[in-house]
Amino acid sequence: MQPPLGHCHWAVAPFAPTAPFRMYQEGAAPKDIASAASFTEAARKGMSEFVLLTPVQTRPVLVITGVLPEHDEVLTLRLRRLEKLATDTARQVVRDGGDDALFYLRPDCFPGLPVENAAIVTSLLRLPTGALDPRESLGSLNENELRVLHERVARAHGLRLDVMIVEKAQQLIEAARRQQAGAERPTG
Amino acid sequence: MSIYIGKVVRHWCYGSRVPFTAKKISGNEVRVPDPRPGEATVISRYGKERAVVIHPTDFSRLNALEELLSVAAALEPIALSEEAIRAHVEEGTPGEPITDPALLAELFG
Repeated sequence: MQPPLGHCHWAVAPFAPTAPFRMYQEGAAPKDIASAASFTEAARKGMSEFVLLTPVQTRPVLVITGVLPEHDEVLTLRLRRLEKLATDTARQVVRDGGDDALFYLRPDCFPGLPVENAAIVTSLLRLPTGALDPRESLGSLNENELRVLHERVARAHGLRLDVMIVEKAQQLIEAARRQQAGAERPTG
Repeated sequence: MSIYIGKVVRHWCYGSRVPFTAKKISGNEVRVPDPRPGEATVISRYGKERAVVIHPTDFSRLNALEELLSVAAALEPIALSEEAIRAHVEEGTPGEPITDPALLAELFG
């Protein structure tokens, strides 16, 4: 299997369970649970694991992280067909990279996708690799596109990376200072 | 003497990764040299740097610089277009799942 980072693969993608929750019962019809509060009450009584009937869709997803080896999982994004956008203008904006939240997947790089698609930047989905069909990559992003997409995902979700950036800046300053001190030290 | 204290913004367990937390101590409890603006007094013990005393204005400047750097490094949020919002909602909402046993048997055996 090719490394999935940046690649598009068919996957069994779940929809996030939400109220009313359809709970599986042995030998009986599913039971509808109206809200998450009922689950909390059950958990307080010491019972917290159940089986829900969660709808899934077989769909292509874009893998945007490497596999976490300890957990065998990746982060992915759902795709949106451009033909589903309301207007030609909107489609062109996406093709031109003008919509920050819909990342255009160039058809020449995604020959396995039958129509034009964009990755929905806000639709992060964590999947075990077992939910991906590894047999065929439908196409892939290049390194640059992946960087831009990562930045957009971080921005869309309001991830605070400033501390990391400041720390990196401090490390670079420190390294430059050490280098300068080394250069000024008398030799011989 | 009293020590000027800025707002609490650094938690010790994260070391230098986040801005300063200022700890307030009365000037009556400790003996510190009078700091002058632009001067840092390094207090060492057993040959090891233990503390650095700086003037409150320098501390404010340091804090302000860190805040400035933090703001400069913060990511701009992206604006979600109507199309992006609709795409997110529609692609995240289940449609009509296939539940017909005959069809399922045909598909999955």
